[in-house]
Amino acid sequence: MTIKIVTDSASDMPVELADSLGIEVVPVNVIFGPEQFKDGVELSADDFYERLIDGEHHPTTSAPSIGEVVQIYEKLGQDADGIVSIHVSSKLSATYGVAEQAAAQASVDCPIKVIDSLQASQGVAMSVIAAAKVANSGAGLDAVVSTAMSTVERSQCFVLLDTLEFLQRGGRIGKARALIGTLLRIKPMIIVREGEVDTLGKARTYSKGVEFLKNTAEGFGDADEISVIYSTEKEVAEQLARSLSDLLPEGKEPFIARIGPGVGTHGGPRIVGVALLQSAV
Amino acid sequence: MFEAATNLLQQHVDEINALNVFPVPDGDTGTNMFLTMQSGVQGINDTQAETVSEVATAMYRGTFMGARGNSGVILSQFLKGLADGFDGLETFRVKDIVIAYERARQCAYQSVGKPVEGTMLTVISSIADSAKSIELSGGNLNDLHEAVCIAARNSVAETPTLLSTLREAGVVDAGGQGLVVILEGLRRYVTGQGMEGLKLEMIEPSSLESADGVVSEEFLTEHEEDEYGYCTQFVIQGDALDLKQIRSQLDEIAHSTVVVGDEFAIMVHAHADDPGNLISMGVSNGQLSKIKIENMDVQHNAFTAARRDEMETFTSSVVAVAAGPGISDIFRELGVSELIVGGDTMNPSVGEIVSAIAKAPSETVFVLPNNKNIVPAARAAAEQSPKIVNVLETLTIPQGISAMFSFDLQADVDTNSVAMSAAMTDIKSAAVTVAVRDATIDGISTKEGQYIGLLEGDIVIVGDDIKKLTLGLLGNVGVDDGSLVTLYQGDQLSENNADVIGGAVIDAFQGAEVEVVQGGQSHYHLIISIE
Repeated sequence: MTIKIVTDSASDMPVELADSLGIEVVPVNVIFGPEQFKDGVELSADDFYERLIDGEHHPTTSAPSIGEVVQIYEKLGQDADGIVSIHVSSKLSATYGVAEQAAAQASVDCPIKVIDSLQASQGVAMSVIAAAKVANSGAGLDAVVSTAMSTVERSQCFVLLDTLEFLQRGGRIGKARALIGTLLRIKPMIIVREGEVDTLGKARTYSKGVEFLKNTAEGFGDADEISVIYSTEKEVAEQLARSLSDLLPEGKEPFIARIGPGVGTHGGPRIVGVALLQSAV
Repeated sequence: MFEAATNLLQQHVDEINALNVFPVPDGDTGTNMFLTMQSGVQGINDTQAETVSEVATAMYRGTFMGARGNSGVILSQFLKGLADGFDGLETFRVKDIVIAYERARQCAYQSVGKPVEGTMLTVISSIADSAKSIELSGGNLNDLHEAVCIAARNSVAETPTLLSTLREAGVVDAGGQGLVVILEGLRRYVTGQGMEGLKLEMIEPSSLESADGVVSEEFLTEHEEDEYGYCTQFVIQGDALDLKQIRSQLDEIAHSTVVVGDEFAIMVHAHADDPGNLISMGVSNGQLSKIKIENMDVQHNAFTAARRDEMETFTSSVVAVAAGPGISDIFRELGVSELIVGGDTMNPSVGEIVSAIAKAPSETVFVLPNNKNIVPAARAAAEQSPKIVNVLETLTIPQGISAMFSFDLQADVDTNSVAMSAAMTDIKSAAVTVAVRDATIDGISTKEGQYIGLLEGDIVIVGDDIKKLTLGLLGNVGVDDGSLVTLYQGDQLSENNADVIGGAVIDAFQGAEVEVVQGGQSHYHLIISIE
C-alpha cells in the first residue's frame, strides 16, 4: 500500500526531515505589507525574523488556497492508495478547512483523509511523523489514520513568549487573553489545549520561564518524542533540550526545531517551547 | 467591472482590517478579501472572457486558486454561485441576477462546515432575499443594484445583534463590510459613477432606533439579563407583513421583544412564559421558519449550579497582609482572596487574620504575612482558626509577590505549598527608607533624615542622595545579567523622581530588565525586588 502524508508549514516540519520521510508540506502564506511569501519556500526563518524585528510592515498569515491544495492532492493521488492530510488546529488557522474542501473537490481516485491535529508547530509534527513512519512501513489507510489520531491525543505543545503582542495582533490569543494587561511585567507561557491557545502560567523572568517549561514537560511524564522549538534563541533551546533528555527512552535525545515564519508571525522573537508525545499508558 | 470593485476594496483594506479588533483567528479580513478579488481579476485578464458567463467563471476560477483566509474562501464560493447562476448567459436581466444570488447563497453556506449567522453568510443571505423582493415588485436592474446594497448594509449593521463576539467588541462583521464595499463598487461601476479616491463610510453597529426596526447592543445586553421564561425566536415570512402591528401584538404577550425585518421577512426574538402564544401569533401573520425555543430557567439554574461548583472546587486560597494601593492591587491580581491592611507600623491583630481566613473561599488557606513582625500573629491565627492554615513565612512584600506568582488556584494544596515556598526565597528584597532618629545599627551610623538602604531587613548603606543610595544598594546586592529589578514606588516619592532613579538603574545595570511600579506604600520610598 502507498499512503501519502501531507501537512502544512505551520507544523514547523524541517525540510530535510519531511523529505526523508516523504512528507508533502503545503506552505501557508506570510504577508509583509504588499509582499507575499510562501512560508519556508520563498522566505527563510533568518530572513523572516530579521524583517519581523526591523522591517516596516507587521506580517500577517493566510491559509493556502483550495486550488493549491487540490493540485497537491491530485499530484500525489496519481500513485497513491490513500492520502492522509494532517493540519494545524482548525481553531487557529483556516488551513484545515481549506484542506477539507480541497479533498472534496480534488479529482483523485484514492481516498483522502483530512485530520485536525488540534495542535500547532511541532505539536502537529508529532502526529505527522508518526503517521509517515507507519505509512512508510507499508501500512494501509486505516492503520495510518488510527496512528495519527492516537498521537493527536498524546501530543502537547507549550511555549514561553517574550511578549503577547504578536499573539494578540494575529488574533490567536484565545484563552491566554487572561495574561494581558498585568500590573507587573510578565513572561507569558501558553499551551495549546483542545486546539486553542490557553494560559499555562506566567513567569517574572525569561530564565524562570524556561525552568517552568522544564517542570511542565516533566509533569507530562515519560515521552516517546520531544522537540524543543525556538524562534531566535538557539542556545536556550539547546540547553533546555539537554535538560529534558531523561524523559525520553534511553539513548534518545530531544529534537531541536526552528519555528518558521508562519508560526513565528504569531509568536514573535525569543519564543522557546516544547512539543512532546506522551508515552502511551 | 470586477476590477473597479477590487480597486474600491483596496481603498478600504485598512478600515476593514481594523474591524478585527476582537480576537478571532481570521487575521486581516480586508487584506485577505482584497487579495482574493485581485486573483479573480487576474483570472479574467488571463482569459478572453467576454460574456457575462465567461467573465463570472474566469473570476471564480481566479479566486479558486487565490482565495485567502476564511473570508476569501466564502467570497470565492459566493463567486462560484454567481458563475453557476450566469452559466451560458451573454448578458443578464433582473431574474438572472436573482437566480445567481440565490445560487451564491447556497454555495456560500455549503462552503463552511457549521454556518454561523451574524457573519458574511447572513449578509449574502440578505442580498439574495432583497434581489428576490425586487423581482417580485417588478423593479429594474438599477433598483436591484441599489436594493442589494442597502440590504447588505443593513444586514452588516445588524451582525452584532446576531453574534455575541461582535456585540462584545462593538464592531460589525469585517467580511460583511468587505462584501458591501465590493457590491458598492459593482453598483457604481454599472451606473457609471467614478470611484477614484472614494472613501465609503464604514458601517456602524445598529443603534437603538426602533423606527427602522433595528436594535442596539445595549438593548440586547440589557434584556439578556432578565432571563426567565422561554427565549423564543423565529422568522415570519409573508408578502405584506406589518412590522408595527406585529411588534405591538408581541409586546402584549411577551417581554424583551426584538422585532426586525421588512414586509417580506421579520425576525422575532422574545421572552415569554408561554411560547405557544408567540408561535400562534406568528402563524397568524405568515409562514414561520428558523423556530428556536429555549427554557431560560433551566439555563439560569445550570449557570448558578456551575458557579456554585466552581466555588466548592477551590482547594486552597490565600490571605495576605499588605499596605499601599498599588501593592494591594498586585496581590489581588495574582489571586489573593482576602487582603488585610498592615505592615511595619500597622501590625494586624490575630482576630483580623482569623476573620480573613474565615472569609477565604476554601478549607485550606495559605497566609502570607509579608513582614517579620506579623509572622507571630499569623501563626497564632492559624492555631485559632478551625480551617487548615499554612503560614508561609514571607518576610517582605517581594517575597509575598514572588510566592503568589507560583500560586495556581487549580492546583492541589501540596503543589501550591511546595511551589510557593520555593518561589518566596528565590528572590532578593531590598528597600529604601528614611532614618527617623540618629542611630548606630550593625556598625552603621545614620543621622535623622538620612536615607537608609535595607537588604533582607538589614541596614547595609546610608546616604543623603536617594539615587546614589539606590545604585549603591543594588551594587551591594549584585544584579546579574538577565535578572529583573522591580522598583515599587512609595507614596513619598514623586513619579518624576522614581523615573529618574529607574533610568539610573537601567544605565548602571544594562544586562538587567528594570521596571518601576506604583506601590503606594507609606514609609518606604522604594521597595525593590531583584530576581
